Amino acid sequence: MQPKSNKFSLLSKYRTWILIFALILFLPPLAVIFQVSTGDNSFCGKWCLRMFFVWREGITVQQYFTGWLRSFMGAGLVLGVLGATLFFGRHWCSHICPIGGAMELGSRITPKFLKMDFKTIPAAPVRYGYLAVFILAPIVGAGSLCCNYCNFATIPRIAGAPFSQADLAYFFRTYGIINLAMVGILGFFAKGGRAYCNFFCPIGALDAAVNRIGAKLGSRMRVIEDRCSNCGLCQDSCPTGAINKDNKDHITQIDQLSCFPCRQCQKVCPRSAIAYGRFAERLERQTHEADNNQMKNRMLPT
Amino acid sequence: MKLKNVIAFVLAAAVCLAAAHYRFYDSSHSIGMMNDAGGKAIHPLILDAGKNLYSVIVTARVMPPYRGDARVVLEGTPPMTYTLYNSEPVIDLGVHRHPDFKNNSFYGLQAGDSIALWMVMKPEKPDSNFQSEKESDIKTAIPTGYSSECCSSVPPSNHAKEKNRAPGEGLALSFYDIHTNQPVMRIPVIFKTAGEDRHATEIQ
Repeated sequence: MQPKSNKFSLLSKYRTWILIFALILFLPPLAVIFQVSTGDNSFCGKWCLRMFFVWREGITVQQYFTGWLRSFMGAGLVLGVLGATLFFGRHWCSHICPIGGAMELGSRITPKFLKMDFKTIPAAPVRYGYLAVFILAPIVGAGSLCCNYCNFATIPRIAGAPFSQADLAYFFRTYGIINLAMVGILGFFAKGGRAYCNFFCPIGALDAAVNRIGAKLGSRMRVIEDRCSNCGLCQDSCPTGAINKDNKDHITQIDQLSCFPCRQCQKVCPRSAIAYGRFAERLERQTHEADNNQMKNRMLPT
Repeated sequence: MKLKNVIAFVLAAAVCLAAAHYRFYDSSHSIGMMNDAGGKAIHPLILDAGKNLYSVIVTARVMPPYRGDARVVLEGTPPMTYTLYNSEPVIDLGVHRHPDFKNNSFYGLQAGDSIALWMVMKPEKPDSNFQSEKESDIKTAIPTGYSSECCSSVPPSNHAKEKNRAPGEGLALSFYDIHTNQPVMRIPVIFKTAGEDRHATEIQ
């Protein structure tokens, strides 16, 4: 039997199309999801994913949960995303998120010589430094990163700006220009297109933490060590810099604190040494069986 | 834990803290409630004086029992030229009703409607020294829970004076019912020169 998690799985094969479909659903000019559900135009409003869980100095418990109710669609989505990640990995980030998807797709059409590589920067410490400030600064009244620096506000307005003067007006302000620059540098002009997601997304940071916590429980991208030749192709292909073979044992490892199952590594691996699933041993067996089946099929007379 | 990681964490936190703490004042966001009784500004627009261009967003909710048409006008001093842009779906699928916005007026407002207007305004006479409020007044006027984008629904008590500023005093974005000419909402625009030391905690 063919293993479910081989490199030709639907999620792997049609990832680009799934991302494009997500863009159509979420972003202007159609913004289907928002229009059909709450009548909003974008993630700002009832769909805000980021503000509802931030406690602000001086608010009461009731006011805090009022924020959850105000952003009920965003709150539901975040809880759903985190729950799904626990068991199945970060498919929201890799396949659905229209913001990360837009930056990645933009990066793919950017000429190589213009792209910057941010993989040398350790992503996890930067991400959790950001998340710490995102959560703690409002609590102590030291300011807020919410809204002012938000790619969930920026990307929909980039998509809407050619059609709507209201969206264009966003980029007349300093924050709009800064956000545009950040999305450009860390997204469209970043190798892999996911540096913004990797460093400055609070949802991505929470999702990554859940991904790591549930790594033993749920399905993840895993290296089948017996098959791996440590060639490094997967490391180069990883958009989040989650694959590392520069450790003391010089074996290829996947950091579940940064990995999402985009399966780029799986696609480029010449030895099928990376697969998506719950247990590496089982994956190894499945991959072995798949190879045998493939070989038998080749040997059968046509 | 690697030293490199610790340094990256501390550096990231420091940069993010500075970004969170510093606020650019060429942009602001206010929230209001529109009703028959003159409406309510949850918090006003607070901007730095002396800029050549301001881009602000005004969101509001229409409270029952108000329904009708409302014209929007930026009135008062200092005089500004302004353009209003209504935030609406680029391609309206027609699933939800949206009030029409034409010639700076909303038509068909109903209780429960949410409106979002972008306003780009320019001083008629650019003057880096102009200041519409005394600095001491401004300091008491700035809410502790405030960000340029998101806002409080519980205004600080010392903000009442600014919110209830009489028509004609200072600058304000006013909404008038087209048929009765009665005000249905008034959002004061406050200019300040000194930096605030606490902000953006966005009390809900």
